[in-house]
Amino acid sequence: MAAFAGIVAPGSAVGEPVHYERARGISGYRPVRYPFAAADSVSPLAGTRGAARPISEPQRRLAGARMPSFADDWYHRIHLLPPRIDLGNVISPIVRRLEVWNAHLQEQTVLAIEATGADGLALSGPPAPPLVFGALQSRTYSFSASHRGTPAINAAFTFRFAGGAEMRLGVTGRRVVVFGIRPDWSDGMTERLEWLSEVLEAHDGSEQRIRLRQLPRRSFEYSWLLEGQDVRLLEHLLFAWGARIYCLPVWTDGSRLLQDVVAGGRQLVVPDAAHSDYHPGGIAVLWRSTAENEAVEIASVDGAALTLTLALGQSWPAGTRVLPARLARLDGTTGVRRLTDTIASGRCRFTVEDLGASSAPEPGTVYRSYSVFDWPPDWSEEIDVSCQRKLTVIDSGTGPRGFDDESGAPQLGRRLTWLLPNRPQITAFRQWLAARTGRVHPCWLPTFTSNLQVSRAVVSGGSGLVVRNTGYSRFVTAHPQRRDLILRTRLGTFFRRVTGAEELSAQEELLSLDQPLDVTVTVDQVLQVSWLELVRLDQDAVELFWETDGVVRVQLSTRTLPS
Amino acid sequence: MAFESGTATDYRNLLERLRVFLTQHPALVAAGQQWTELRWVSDAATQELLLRAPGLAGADDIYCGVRSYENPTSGYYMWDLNGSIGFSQVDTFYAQPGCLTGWLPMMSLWNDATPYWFVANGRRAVVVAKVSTLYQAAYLGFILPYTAPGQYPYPLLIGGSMTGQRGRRYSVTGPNHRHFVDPGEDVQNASSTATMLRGPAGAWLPFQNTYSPTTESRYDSARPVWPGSYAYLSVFREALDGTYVLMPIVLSQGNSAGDHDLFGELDGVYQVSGFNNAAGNLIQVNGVDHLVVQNVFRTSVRDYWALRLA
Repeated sequence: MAAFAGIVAPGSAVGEPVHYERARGISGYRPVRYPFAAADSVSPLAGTRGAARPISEPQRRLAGARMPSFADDWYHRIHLLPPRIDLGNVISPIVRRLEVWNAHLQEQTVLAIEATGADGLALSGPPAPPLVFGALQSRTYSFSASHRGTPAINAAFTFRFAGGAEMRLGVTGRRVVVFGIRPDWSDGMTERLEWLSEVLEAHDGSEQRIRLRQLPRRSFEYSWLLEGQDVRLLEHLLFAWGARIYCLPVWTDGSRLLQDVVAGGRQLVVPDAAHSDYHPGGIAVLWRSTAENEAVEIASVDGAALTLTLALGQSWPAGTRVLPARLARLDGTTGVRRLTDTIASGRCRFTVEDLGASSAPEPGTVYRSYSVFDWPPDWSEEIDVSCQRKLTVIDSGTGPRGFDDESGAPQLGRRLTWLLPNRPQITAFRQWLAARTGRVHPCWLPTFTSNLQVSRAVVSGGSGLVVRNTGYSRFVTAHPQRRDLILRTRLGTFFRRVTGAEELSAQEELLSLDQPLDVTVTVDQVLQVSWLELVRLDQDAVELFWETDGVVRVQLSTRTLPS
Repeated sequence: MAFESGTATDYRNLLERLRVFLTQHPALVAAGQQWTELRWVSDAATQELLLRAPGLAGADDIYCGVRSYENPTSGYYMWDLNGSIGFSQVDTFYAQPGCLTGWLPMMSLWNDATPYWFVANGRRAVVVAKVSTLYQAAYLGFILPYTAPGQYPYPLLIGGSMTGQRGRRYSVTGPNHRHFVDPGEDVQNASSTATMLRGPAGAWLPFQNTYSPTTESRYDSARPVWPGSYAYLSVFREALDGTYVLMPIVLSQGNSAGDHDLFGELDGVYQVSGFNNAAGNLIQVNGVDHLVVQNVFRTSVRDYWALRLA
């Protein structure tokens, strides 16, 4: 402890010195000048600094409580990160990282890691148990899943700690095999989409329609003709894999690689990806033969380029078939007919497991808040029209019969066939079909027949349409089921509503339109005047019959609704 | 965990004692948590101590350092505090790998008798020193992050009680002379502060609660330290039964959505009410003593914190 010398400077302790004093012997004063006489002051006082530090202070003892915080929840336990692993579809080997963190502030010992259902799964990295995890120590395990093993993965790894604590890592996923048996196109291929709806019909014919199924069920049915090695392969596949999930190439959406791809690549360029069943998170299959094929998972679709989540396992030359794929189960019995000892044919039906919804808007113009579907049907098959009445017959058996036409209007049913000749049209038709969701959502559909014949030119701004007298004004006159028409002319197509009708003569009648045409149309410029009917599908299931992988034939039943 | 208190003869002796404490204290050695001395240089004017802490399980490498120097003419006797992500034999104290650069958190001590309290485990060390009637403090090592080690492997905090941007005597008053538990700076959002955390992305992040040399205004800065940043802390009292509530000290960051991200909390360091309380008191929680410390010279209700002495 340092000690310093010091002085106390003279100050007021001494008192104010006398400034004047009387001289002895004379009467008067004389000033006293500095310095004072020693007797006028006191000597400086020398001092030392004592070693008093540190100064002790009074100390109190208090009681306290610690406020809990998130650290109390986060620490003092074992963390598995991630706490569970969902492998999805294991179509190629997968490696994931698992962090095991002892968030206790004391060490913990893993006595054992017990695995159940871990066929084809492995944890590796740190030494085998018993293994001491120090306080706050974290170890990283490598978790790998092979694509060989049980088809449904439902495994658990239990970390058993000394002291009884257990941590369980759940692992789920599934393995699929590619069903690489290609279809025999001579029979075509049937794709079936099934919605489910309930229609509640009132006495007057109006109805309430309820959609019961979120996504349409989808199935594929096709025949095959196989020979030699492929037959044996198919038989073993059917025997062993049975009712499990297959990775089914969507044979209707196939294309071919334009360029070679090499193992390790992550990009596939497929022509016409927009009109095929590729989607992020889905599967694509590279196919050369029944035995030689590879399934890959798609991370993203950008135009014609597919980016894969994992690198390709092998190289594929240009010309290899590329197909989108769906997870599917074999439905019902699969018959195999042996034609010779090495040739077999058969037919199989798959129901798709991973259903997806179409998010694309439906095509077509909109008229009175419903879209118009004016694709001409295929006239190679006739359009059947049925006119049905909601007629109740009251017959007691003894007296005359009574009839009650409940709704007072006919229900027109039609059966139409479309031939869709190219992929863009097929895609558009699918979008239209998705917007219908079975029987639920109606749309406008022309009758596609010439229902009226225009007999005089329609002048610009005129709201009347003079047609050959067909008895419309006498019988129908803007009936709610028959008052909208589509007027196809060389100058354009017009959708109009008939607001009234008047018989001009025995030959002609005048229909009033809700809105005048803005052009003048002469009689010979009119191509066709058809009624426009608000219709819904009369079926929840639609079959797309693929004649080839680019041509589809569809047959639909419709029925009219009051518009 | 190890604890030691005593009285050092001066600031140099204090560092010598810290060195012995961290590398040789029986409790640390028994737990396998003693720190490793990487460099010890002691010449006439300066001392340099670089250390590696082993973590609680001996599986971490936590690099911290203290360098002492003096200026008797101006009357300051300093400890510079720093941390790094590694140790380089050829580099100076201020150029270690990934270390803090520019103004460092520091402690402003003196050349006289200094009572002290050292607390350490394998993850972090806390120093409290009493200079005259003021308290100086330092925190070297990991915080307890609200994440797993795999997500945030190096949550190193270097906390002091002086930022170094302005005058450095222990007698300085102002927002640049505050403890790491409730840090300040006299320029808003400047990167000079007594609390520097190595963030999850590897950048050093400054934390501040106050600014303005005259008023020590409080503001919700980009990175406040809770609960020091809390506006109503000055009315915070003991509980009805007389016990004092020790609140965790949480490092947070304002995000663009208007709320805060939390990095984690300090280990063994808590905010406590200064109401009817004084520095040097001991608060017992579950049988463990906690030393009450005031924020340098400040003695208002909100300026106290407690250090777990175990």
